[in-house]
Amino acid sequence: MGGTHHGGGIEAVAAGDSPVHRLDPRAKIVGLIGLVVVAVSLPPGAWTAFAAILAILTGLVAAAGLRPMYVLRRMTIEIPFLLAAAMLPFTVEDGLALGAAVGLKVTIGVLAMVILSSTTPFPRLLRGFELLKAPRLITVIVAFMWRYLHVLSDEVSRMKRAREARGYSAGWLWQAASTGPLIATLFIRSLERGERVYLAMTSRGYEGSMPTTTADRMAIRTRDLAFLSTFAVALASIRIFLP
Amino acid sequence: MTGKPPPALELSDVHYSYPDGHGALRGVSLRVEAGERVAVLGPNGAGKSTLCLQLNGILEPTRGSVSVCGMAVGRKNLKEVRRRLGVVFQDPDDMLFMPTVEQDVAFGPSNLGLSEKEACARVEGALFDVGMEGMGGRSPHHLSHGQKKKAATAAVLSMEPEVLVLDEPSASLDPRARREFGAILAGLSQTIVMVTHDLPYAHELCERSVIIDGGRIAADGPTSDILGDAELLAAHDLELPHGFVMNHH
Repeated sequence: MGGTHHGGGIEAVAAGDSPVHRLDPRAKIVGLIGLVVVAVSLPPGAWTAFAAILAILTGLVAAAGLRPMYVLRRMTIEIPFLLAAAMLPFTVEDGLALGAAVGLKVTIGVLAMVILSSTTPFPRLLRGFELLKAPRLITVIVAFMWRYLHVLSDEVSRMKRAREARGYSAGWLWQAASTGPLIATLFIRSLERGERVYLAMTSRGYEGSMPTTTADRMAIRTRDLAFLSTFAVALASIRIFLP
Repeated sequence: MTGKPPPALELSDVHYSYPDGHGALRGVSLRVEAGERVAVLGPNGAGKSTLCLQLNGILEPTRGSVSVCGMAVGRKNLKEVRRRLGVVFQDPDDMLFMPTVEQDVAFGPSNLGLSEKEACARVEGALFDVGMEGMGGRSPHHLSHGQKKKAATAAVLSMEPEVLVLDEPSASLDPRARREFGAILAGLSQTIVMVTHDLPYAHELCERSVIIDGGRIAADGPTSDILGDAELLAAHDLELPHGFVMNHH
């Protein structure tokens, strides 16, 4: 059964070890969200402040031992946003500074999230959000999504392989028509899977509300407090003195 | 305490039809004593999996009754029934839905309202019972199929059930995982009801077997007698693997 994933994906990187990996997820979540909030609140023209924030993030990338190519690859999701920002100089007054500021803010936000998700295994990240009192319904939905995305992607690759084994090649346009039925089949299988998961949950005493998971406790340590206070001081000074 | 303990499981004249009118069970009566290990054998479509879902009240019999440890299964005591009777489903991916194994194993105990300390002790105990100690932090999709099966079993054992029901326990396990999983089951003290068409597995683990076919019990007796009766097996679309020789206990 093709249940194993190999290679240097985000999960392998997140399972690594570095001072940043070792920080409590809550410290990273609060620190990085704070950083993004400060970045978003900066006015266009506060270039030194933007530079300082980017320097902090670059420092974190280095401390986490993330490879630059890996980080850049992860950051490609921001390209559409950058393209949108690139339109600003042509459409609004003083658009160059505005476009640059928007581009920088997007870059900072994405980079912060790449660092967070590449240094924290997903279950711990979710647990961190839960302990920070994120709405339980949302964390539960995300947890299910993450868990079954893997099951579904295995299912898709098995179905694709079966299709290829019978002479399918994606290069032929007329054969691309079989993608529709594949999606339909996947949808029905997921529906059935969902029903079976629900039955299995009910069998284990589920009565409509998720219990708070007891296992996997976390503790804020000195290093987390040190990280957070350094972060707070740096961000406050950037926000107050640099613009 | 005097007298015999109540049977772990008792079905009397259980009928069940699916909403579309298809009759899956047509009068099943079965009594399983505490501590027994019973294999429920039958071809695909015989009603085996439907039977599993009757046992913990997920499906309600259209006629007849089910009782677990002396309690009649009904809406009022579902929680208690599901604590005492745990079902290990065929596909472990249906059972392991939490991000990590230990969160999943803690799901049942948390539903029972146990304290954090008790739940953690249960998780550790259950993972130890299936030989997965130290693997609680793993994500289910990083486990092999055999490990998933063990984790799913731990997720049921953590509720400390008195009866364990397994739907096709050996399905899609490779020989080694199948053997290891069998050894785990053999070491458990629970009453076991195992639905399967893996006849050698039934022979290895259960002293008693029941054949279910067409929604009815077709045979009930010591596993070696049932598996030794080639005509009986053939009549119910069951067969031993070619070359399999039983060594009688």
